[in-house]
Amino acid sequence: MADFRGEEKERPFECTACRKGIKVLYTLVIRDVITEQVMCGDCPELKKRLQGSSNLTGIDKKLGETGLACGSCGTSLEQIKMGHSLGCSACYAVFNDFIIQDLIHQKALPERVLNQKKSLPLHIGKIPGKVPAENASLRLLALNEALDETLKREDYEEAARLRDQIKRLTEERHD
Amino acid sequence: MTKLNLDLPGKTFWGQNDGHIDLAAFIILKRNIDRFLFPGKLDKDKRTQILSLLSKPLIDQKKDLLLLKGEECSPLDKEWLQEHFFLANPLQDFQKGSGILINSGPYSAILNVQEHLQLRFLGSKSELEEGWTALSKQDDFLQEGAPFAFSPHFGFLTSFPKDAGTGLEVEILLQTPALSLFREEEHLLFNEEDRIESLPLFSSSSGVERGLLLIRNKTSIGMSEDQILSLVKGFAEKVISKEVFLRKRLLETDESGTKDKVARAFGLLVHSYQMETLEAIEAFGWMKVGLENGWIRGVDRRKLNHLLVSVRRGHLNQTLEGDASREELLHKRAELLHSELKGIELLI
Repeated sequence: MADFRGEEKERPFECTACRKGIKVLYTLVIRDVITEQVMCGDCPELKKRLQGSSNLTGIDKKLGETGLACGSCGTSLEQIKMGHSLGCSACYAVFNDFIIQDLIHQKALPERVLNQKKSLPLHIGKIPGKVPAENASLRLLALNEALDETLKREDYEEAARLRDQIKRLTEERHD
Repeated sequence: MTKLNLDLPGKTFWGQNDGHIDLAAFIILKRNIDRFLFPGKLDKDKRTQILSLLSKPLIDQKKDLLLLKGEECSPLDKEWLQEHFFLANPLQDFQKGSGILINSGPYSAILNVQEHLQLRFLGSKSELEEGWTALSKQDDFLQEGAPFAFSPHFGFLTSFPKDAGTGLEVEILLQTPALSLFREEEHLLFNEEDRIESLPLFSSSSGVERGLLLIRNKTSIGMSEDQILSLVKGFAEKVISKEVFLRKRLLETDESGTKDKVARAFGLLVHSYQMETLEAIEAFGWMKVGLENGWIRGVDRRKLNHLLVSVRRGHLNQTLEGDASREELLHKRAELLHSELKGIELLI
């Protein structure tokens, strides 16, 4: 059994700069002051500290040079690229291109979305104010995808549950 | 600090938790109110306004909900909330204008921490569907009074785009002592599924926790709620199967070594004068292996699962009603273990 003796110190779950899982403990020593920060492996803040802010490539560089900022909350593209959070709903429209590129880069979009037409929505879940029946086609699509995945990993109990849901939803649509 | 001495969900759930490998499941539904800036950009007055706007209907619906405001919580309270999986970065996040609504039930809500609202469920893996149905109803109820930020393209809008779409995060906490011995097997599992990530829970200067795995969906955009639930549950099943397989393999290939691990864990928990949290948590995993093989008597899974949170620093400090020194705490933790595990027997 490993000996874990040492200073007991709680650590946050996520990167303090951009909230992804922790991979790096970044220790900064300036004279006699030592500060520690936990970061994810691909944290833009980490890249900036190690390589300077000029390390932009491809689309990042093209977008970064525009000095784009949200007129509603003042958040800039540079801040988003550093891993800061978006400031408001309007940011999604202002930084639309970068957000999608970044989601692709982070492998945060499922294959279905990557292969679909750009005009189709990324979102396929619940829609506010709509009763489930109005959203039934998308829900059926999602359930069938979930069923395929479940069968691939041979989880037959979960597959049976999903089949029941698909059957129920299909019957509701025909009623 | 006194408020958290009430019978809150952490205590209720962990006191009754009989989980074997899967210890707990969490659902977090993230929402922001339309036409307001997200919490990171909101001034204190607006944050307070949102706190009141969201907490009032929830309290009207459930009168026993307790609102703990960020500014009223001591650092120890915040630590307690982190240890019970309510907050990720309590000292950074849980500031003025933030709050948490909790009672002894499985549902809670966090206000103005990263998003305006995080509706939460804490239960077992088998209760996930039930939990999601209840959270979805709460979501609909709140949406009627204060419409949430939504775009047909991105779905529900959140501070980080990867959390947009459904805004749904599903987490499962697993106790995997055998898998932690075979790190390459763990890496293989995660390499096969890039839509799932694991989160480290905490560390000391000499290591991270071993034998506990918190898994969650990496993103909530582009997938439906059913897909996310099925994905995380399915991956948890894979981890559980692997853990069962590895425990069996350990017994077949190195029974003496496995017995030694259990016996050392027993000795550590029963005879230490000072005890670190990480040592205790690792030992609990091996005690469970001992239990399932009939090598240990006088303790059950429920007690071991409860100890998993009650040995943590914040929890221990709450029961000690003060901020004990590090040395006192190490000894108090050992004392707690001795008293809770009184009568336990090693049969090998």
